[in-house]
Amino acid sequence: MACGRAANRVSGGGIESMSRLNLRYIIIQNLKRKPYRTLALAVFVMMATGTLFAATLTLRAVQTSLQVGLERLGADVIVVPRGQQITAQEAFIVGQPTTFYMDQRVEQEIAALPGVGRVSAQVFAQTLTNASCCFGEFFLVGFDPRNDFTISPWLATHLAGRAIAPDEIVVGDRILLRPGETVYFYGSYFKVAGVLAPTGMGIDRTVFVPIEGMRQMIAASPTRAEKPLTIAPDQVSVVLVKAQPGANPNELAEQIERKNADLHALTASHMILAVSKQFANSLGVIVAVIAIWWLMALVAIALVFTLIVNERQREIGLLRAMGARQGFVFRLIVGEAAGLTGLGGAIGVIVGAILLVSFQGLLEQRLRIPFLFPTPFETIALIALLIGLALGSGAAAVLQPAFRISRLEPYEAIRQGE
Amino acid sequence: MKGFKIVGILVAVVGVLVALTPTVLLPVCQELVKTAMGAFVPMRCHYTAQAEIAVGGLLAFVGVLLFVYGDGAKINGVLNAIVFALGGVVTLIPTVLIGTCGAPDRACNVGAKPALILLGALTMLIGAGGVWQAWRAGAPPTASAAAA
Repeated sequence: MACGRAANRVSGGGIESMSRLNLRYIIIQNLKRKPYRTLALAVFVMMATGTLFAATLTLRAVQTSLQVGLERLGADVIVVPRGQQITAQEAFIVGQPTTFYMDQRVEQEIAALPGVGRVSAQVFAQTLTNASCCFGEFFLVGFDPRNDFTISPWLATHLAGRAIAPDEIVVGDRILLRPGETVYFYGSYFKVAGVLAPTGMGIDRTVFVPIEGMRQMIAASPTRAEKPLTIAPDQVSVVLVKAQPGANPNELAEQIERKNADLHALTASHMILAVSKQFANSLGVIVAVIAIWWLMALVAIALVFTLIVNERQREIGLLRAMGARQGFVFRLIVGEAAGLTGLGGAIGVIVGAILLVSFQGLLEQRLRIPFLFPTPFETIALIALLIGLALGSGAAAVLQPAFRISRLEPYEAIRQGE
Repeated sequence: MKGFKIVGILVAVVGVLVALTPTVLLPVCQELVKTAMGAFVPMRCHYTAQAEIAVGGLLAFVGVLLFVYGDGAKINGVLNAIVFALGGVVTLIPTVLIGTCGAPDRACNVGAKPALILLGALTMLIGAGGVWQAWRAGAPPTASAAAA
């Protein structure tokens, strides 16, 4: 018995040992007394908290990534050839290389519509794998520096006012290239002018080439590359549209599709909906698992502490006889449960964080979702909230037995416990 | 030695997981890479997987030894020190000794590598805990304990 052992120390060790017989000391000794029971309950809570932490942080990471990525893209509407909307979404969301083309005249056609602020066309290409002409397997996007609004704001602040040269490229954060390095695609050499900040979206896995440089590379590819690039000079892949202030992007998208039935107009809300759909099934299972875990953990803690309280009636009666007040006994039981669930919760959050950081790439690939961790402040707030939830749940689960035992008179408690 | 059988089983299970991770659970890249001479050869992660099978097998064997002979403090301490060292090797193979593919999005980099690092760290923790426990069990009694 914890207090018994402490009492022995009191008789043998004097005042110093007696000062140890406080609430915290008794709670720690009680938890140490049954290490396997303590461990089993802590692991239960650990798994519930760890899963909840990982799922919540993943959800926030997807939202953060979509927010940052769509802001960087700068487009309110993305126009692609009809039938290519799914592959286009894959390209923008996870950087899956893709190639489809439409007539360049579409750009002027869209620019003439009411509500359209700016338009910018992009040309998609994919590098060859295992070809000696080319370096690696990349998603190449040709952009026009004269009217682009995705890369140009970045170029304006990072190239010290100078224009990007046709043989220069800007790469996403996940492309293993650093500024100043030279690479060659389809037999043409390009110098890396800069690396974009991470967004968690497809931009991170994309190589941006000025359209002039890309057209030169396409023209030279039949003689320099193992396989020529067959993109006509009047072809583009997508047209990015920025709406005028006050214009509704959804209405603008409908207007574009009405004007030309061969086009499909994607809006930012379309993209978010597409990601949410991809994520919804997995998220449903995760939420169900977490809910079951929490419920099971709380029921188990309530049951185990009801048994513990019954088992310790004599001990608690002796404590009361020694002068412990009702509040002390109540705090002892609640503190033991809160300590146990708080410890389990803290370990769960640490384990969840380690696993999430380690397998972030695997999660992105398997679920095909964009991923960017939220700010440290938000992450710390989430950690504090979950540990608080674990502590609170543990305390709430044992309120009834704690209240019952604390109201027993010392003599009654000792007699019932014998 | 208290709990030596549980530790032995745990080490053996981790050893099997180390061997299975890069081959079955989170397989490394299967493609071949073309050399300047035109020959196709396996990538670095393939050799990492082979090395991890060997180290995982050794770990499982040490786990069995711990389960059977781990009762004595001295042998338990020695076997746990080997577990600690093998845990270090499990971590070092994909990171320093052999490595994985260059591109961060490859299967070996998103799956097998982080899993092996975590398994290696876990093995080192188990080994360090075992050495500490064996040292405590084998240490001579303190003066106060002897007097009591």
